[in-house]
Amino acid sequence: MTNLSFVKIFVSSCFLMFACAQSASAEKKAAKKEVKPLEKTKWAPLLKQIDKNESQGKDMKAQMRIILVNKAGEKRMREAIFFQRSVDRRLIQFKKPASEAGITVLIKGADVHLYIPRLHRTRRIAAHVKNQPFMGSDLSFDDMGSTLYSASHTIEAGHVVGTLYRLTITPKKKASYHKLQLFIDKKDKLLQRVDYLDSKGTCYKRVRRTLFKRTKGYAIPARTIYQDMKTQHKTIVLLRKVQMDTGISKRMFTRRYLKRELEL
Amino acid sequence: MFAHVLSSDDHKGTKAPCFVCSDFPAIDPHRAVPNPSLLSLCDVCVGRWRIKCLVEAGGCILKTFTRIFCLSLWGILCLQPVQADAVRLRFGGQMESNLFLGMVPPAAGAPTNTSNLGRFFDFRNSNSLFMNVRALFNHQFSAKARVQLRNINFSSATNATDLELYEQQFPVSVRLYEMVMNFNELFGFMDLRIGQQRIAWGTATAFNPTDNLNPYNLENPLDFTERLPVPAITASFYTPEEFFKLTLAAVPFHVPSVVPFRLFKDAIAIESPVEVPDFLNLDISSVERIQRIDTRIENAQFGAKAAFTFSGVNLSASYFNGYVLFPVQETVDTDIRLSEKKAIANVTLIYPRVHVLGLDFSTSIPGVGIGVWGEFALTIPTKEINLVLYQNGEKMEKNPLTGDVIPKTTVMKNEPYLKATVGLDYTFPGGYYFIVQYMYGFFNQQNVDELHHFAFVTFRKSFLRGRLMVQLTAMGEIDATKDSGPNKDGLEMGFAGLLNPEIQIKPIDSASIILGGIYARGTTSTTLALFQDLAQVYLRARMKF
Repeated sequence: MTNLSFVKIFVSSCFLMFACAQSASAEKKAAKKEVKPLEKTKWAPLLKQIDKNESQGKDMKAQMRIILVNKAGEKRMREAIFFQRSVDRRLIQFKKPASEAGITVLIKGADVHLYIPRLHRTRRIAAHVKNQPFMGSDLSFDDMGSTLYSASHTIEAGHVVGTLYRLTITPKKKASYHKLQLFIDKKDKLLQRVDYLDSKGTCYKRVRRTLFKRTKGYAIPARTIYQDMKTQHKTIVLLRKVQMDTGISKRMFTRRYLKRELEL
Repeated sequence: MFAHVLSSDDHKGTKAPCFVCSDFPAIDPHRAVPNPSLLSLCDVCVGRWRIKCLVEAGGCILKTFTRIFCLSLWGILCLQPVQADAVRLRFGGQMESNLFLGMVPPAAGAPTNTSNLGRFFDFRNSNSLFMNVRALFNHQFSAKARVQLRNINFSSATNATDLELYEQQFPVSVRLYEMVMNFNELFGFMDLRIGQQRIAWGTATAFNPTDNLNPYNLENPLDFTERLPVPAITASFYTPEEFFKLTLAAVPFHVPSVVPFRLFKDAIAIESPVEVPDFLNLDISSVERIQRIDTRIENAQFGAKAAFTFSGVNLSASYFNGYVLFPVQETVDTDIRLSEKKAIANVTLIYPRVHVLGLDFSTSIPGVGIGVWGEFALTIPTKEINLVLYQNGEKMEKNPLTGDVIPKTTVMKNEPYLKATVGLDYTFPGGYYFIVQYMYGFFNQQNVDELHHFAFVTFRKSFLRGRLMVQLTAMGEIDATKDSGPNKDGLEMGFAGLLNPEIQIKPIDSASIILGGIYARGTTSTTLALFQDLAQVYLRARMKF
C-alpha cells in the first residue's frame, strides 16, 4: 500500500468517526428535548413539593455575592447579607459597593420597605416598583422575596422534558408575567429553572438554580442566575456562608432593623 | 573612701586615685572609665565595675523586657473585653466636588469687589471629604461618626497682608457632621440614640412639613433636602412586631438653620415699616441681629411620634414643641441721620416657639400599584408677634418724619395654619418613573396668610443598567394670598416656575458625575422668584469608598 492509500484510509476513518459522533449527539439532544405529557394527578403534589422545598428550614442567613454580567461579559459586583425566617420574611442589607452600602430591604409578606441611608428615610415600596430591576441587576423586589406557587398560581400544564418535569402555571392575581414554566428535577424534586413568559408565550426572563449544596440536610442552591433573555444581561447570585436554623428572632424583620448595621 | 571628681585637666599626665577604693595605682582613666573626664578606677574595681555593668545591663534588658511584656499584657487585657464584645470598626467616606456657575450677569452698578459674595452663585466651588467611622460592638450597641473636611472658594482675605496666608485663600473647615451612639433593644422594647443626629420624620419627598427637629442646611439654597444633624436624645418604644412604635425626641440646644440670608431677606420681609418720604432721598440699609436662645431646660425642643402599620398602610401622628426654622422680625430700631442722608434699620430677628401637630401616611393603591403619601402639619403659634419700632432706642408710635400714626404690623399671627404635602409615584412600562407632588406652604412660609400652592413633577429614566440617568424636575407656584400681585394687593395671582434638568453618569458603581441646571422665573411675591438670580449650571462629582 502506498502512503497515499494510508492517508485516504485515515481521512475516511476520521470522517466516519465524526459523522457517528454527530449522529449520537443529535440523538442525545433529541432524547433530551423529547416532551411527554405528565399525568394530571401528579401536577398538584409536585407543585406542593416545590413549595415544601422552598420553605425548608426555620430560618437562614447567608452572604450574597451578586455579579452583574452584561452581553459583552463586563462584570459589576455587589455584596449583601441575607436573613430569612419562614417563607415570607426576608431582610437584605447591601454592603458593597460603597455607594450602595447600607441600603436595606425588608420583605414581610406583600409589604416591602426600603431604607436609603442618604435620605435617612424608610420608604414603603409600592407595587409598581416591585417588578422593576433593582440596583441595575436582573432581580426585582419580587425576586428577592419568595413565592409559594400552589397558593398563588393555577397549574395549566405538566410535562416531562428529559430528566426534568415541567409545570406551566398562571398567576391567580395580576402579575408582571403572563405564565411561569417551572423545571423540576425528577430525582430530588428541586426547582432548577423558572422561565417567565409574556402574553405571546415568549420567555423574557430565565432563572436557573445550580450548585445545590446540603446544609443541615437542606438543599440550598449556591448559585442562581437571573437572565434577561432580550438583552442577554444576567445576574449571578452566589450564596456563601449559608447557615440554617440559627434561631433568628422575628424581631429582626421589623422596620427598625432597616437602619441598623447588620452582620451575619 | 571618698569620691574624687576630676576636672578634665586634673588627670592629664597624673595618676588619680581610684574613684571607688582610693588606692593607687589606678589605671589610666581614659582606658576604662565610662566617662573618662570625670572618674578613675583601679584594676580591681574596673573588674568589679564590669561585672556590675553586665549585671546592670542584664537587669536593664530584663526590666525593658518586663516593661514591654507588662505593657503588652496590659494592652491584651485592655483589648480583651473589646474582643469579647467583638468590636468591629468600619471606615468609609466620600469625596465630593461641586462646581456651580451662575448664569445671571451681575446687576448694573453692583460693586466689583463682591463678585463672589454679593451674588450668591457667580461661581462657586466646594470640595468636601467625608470620613465615616462606625463601631459595632454587638447587635445591640453601635456608634457612628461622620466628619466633614471642607473647602469652599470663598476667600476670607480682606487685607493685602492676608494674601500672604494660604489659609486665608483656601479656608478649610472641619465639621462633626454626625456622631451618634445607638443602644438598641434595651429591655427588649426600647432603642436609645444619643448624640448629634438626623431625626427624619415624614413620608413626603423632599418637602416634609412634619420634619421640624433638624434645621435646614441651605448652604446650597436649592437643595431643600439637606438638614443639619442636631445634638439630641431619641428614645423609641415598640411592640415586638412593630405594629406600634412611639418615638420621643429631645433637642436640648437650639441650632439655627443655615440660610443664605441675603436671598431670603425679601421673603422674610426685612424692611422698615416706617414710611420715608421720597424727597428725603435717604440711603436705607439694615443690620440684622439674631436672637440667641440660651441653653436652658425650658428652651429645649422636643417631639413625639406614634407610628402604626396596618393593612399595608404606614400611618403616624406627631407632635413638635420648638422653634420656627426661619427667624421673624421682632423689633426695628431706626437710626435716621438726615445730615448724612441715610437711615439704618437695626432689626432683631427672633425664633418664636410653636406647636406642630403632624399626620402622615404612605401606602400603595391596590390593583394599580401607585405609591401614595401625604403629610399634614398644623402649626399653632404660642403668641402673636407684633413688630415693635424704635428710633434711636426710644419706642416709636408715630412716624417722626410725617407725624402719622404707624399702623400695627403683625409678623406672626396667633392663628394656626396648615401645611400639606400630598404625592404619588409610578413607574410606567419601560422604566419611566414619575413623581407628582402638591404642597401647600413652602418651608419658609410661616404665617396663616403667607401660604402658597406648589406642585412639582419629577421624571426619571435610567439607561445602561443605571450607568446613565436622566431626570427632569419642573416646579410651579401659585400665590393666591392677599399679598399677591405686583402691588401686593391681591388683585392678581402670582405665578412662578422652576426647571431642574439633570444627567447623571456612573462610570463605576461608587462614583457619579451629575451635570445639571436650574432656571427659575416668577412674579413678585412668589417664593420661587427668589431663585431667579440663581440660574446656574452645576457639576457634581462624588466618589464613595
